[in-house]
Amino acid sequence: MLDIKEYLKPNTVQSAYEMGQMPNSLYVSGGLMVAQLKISSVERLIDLKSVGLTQIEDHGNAFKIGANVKISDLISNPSLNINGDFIKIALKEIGSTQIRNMATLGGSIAFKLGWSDVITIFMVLNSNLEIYDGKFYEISLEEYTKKSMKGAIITAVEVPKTEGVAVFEKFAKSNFDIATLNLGLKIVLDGQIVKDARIAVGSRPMVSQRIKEVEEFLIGKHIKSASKDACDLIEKVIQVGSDIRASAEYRKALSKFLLDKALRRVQL
Amino acid sequence: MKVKIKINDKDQFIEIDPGETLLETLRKLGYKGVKHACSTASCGACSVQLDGKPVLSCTTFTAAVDGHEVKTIEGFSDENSLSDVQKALIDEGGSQCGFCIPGLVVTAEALLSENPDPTQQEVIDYLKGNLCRCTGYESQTRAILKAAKERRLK
Repeated sequence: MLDIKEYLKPNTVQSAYEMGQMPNSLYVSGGLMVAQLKISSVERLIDLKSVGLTQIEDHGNAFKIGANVKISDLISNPSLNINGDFIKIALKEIGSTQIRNMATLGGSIAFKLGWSDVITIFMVLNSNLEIYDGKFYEISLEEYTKKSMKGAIITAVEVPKTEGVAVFEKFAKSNFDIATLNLGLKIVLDGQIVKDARIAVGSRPMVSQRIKEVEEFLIGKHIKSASKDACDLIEKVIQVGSDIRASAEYRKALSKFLLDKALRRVQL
Repeated sequence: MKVKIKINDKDQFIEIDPGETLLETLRKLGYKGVKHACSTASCGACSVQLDGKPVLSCTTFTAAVDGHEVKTIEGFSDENSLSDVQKALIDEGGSQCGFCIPGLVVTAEALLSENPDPTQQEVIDYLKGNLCRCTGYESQTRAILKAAKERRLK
């Protein structure tokens, strides 16, 4: 049990933010991460689920997904088609049925966890976050992972509808396990020529990051003939570290393997 | 703080600590079929249904469940008889030490209510979060498919 004094249920994002400014307060959404915390300094939990944010809206050129939408609801939503069934197929690779029924999209991003599959999946789709920290504004997911935004609340994730094929690969003992490395790839082809490429790699073990050198290398090239060199390049340029799951060297080798697999899949 | 939760079809008004987990609350109330195992959202032994969907009670705050409906293993059978899923597990040798079975049955019941005619792969995928160190899952998968078939024939 987390030894706290208060569990608050605000009605609006604004009141949640005000409560969040009180010392020793922590936001909670799905609860999976917070319930496992062993810190004694937290005095107050602020339940963000009580403010709603559970809608999935089609805005024509983008989907706006409320931060409290559960992963299982993203998978089962019939109208959420982004790059085909990419989101649904990729999210099925995450956790268990129970975890997907609990984890929310916003909560899965907010902790900026290195091993987050969700961040990689949404980063490769060029997603933006709607944030509230006294005012509402947008920031790219990529920027969000690099910035300290203590006290801010993610209220929605905006996913642009773009052309191309996207795939997600992860290397783990099982899809229920934390990935040793995960990789998202989105490619736009003009015939066999790469018009646009986007690569995000997570569980490095640091938080997901785009691999822009390889993206730039691929653009304008014939996908089949450039694949091998792109895989060699990612192994050279990727920034990875060592932890209990794998050494940096192992992760470098894995990045090459996962990109190779992803490049073959986008050509199917 | 006080919360109102419908547990196994019965409204209950419960005094809880603000940081209490649903697992702690349920076991305190006597629902000992909800097993306390990993406490890290890893094993599925503490699974219960929240508004019909399986969740992990070890990482669910009870305060967040206020006004909602919870179903534990005790809600799927009575004291005198086993449910069809439980019977199938026994018939197929799907239970050895038995510790994981309550969580597994709760999850299997959710699967069968969402999908009354699952394939073997769908059973395996849905129950991936219910770890069992005894049976190796073959017999459990067989049991769930058997219970599903019997339900469809009724």
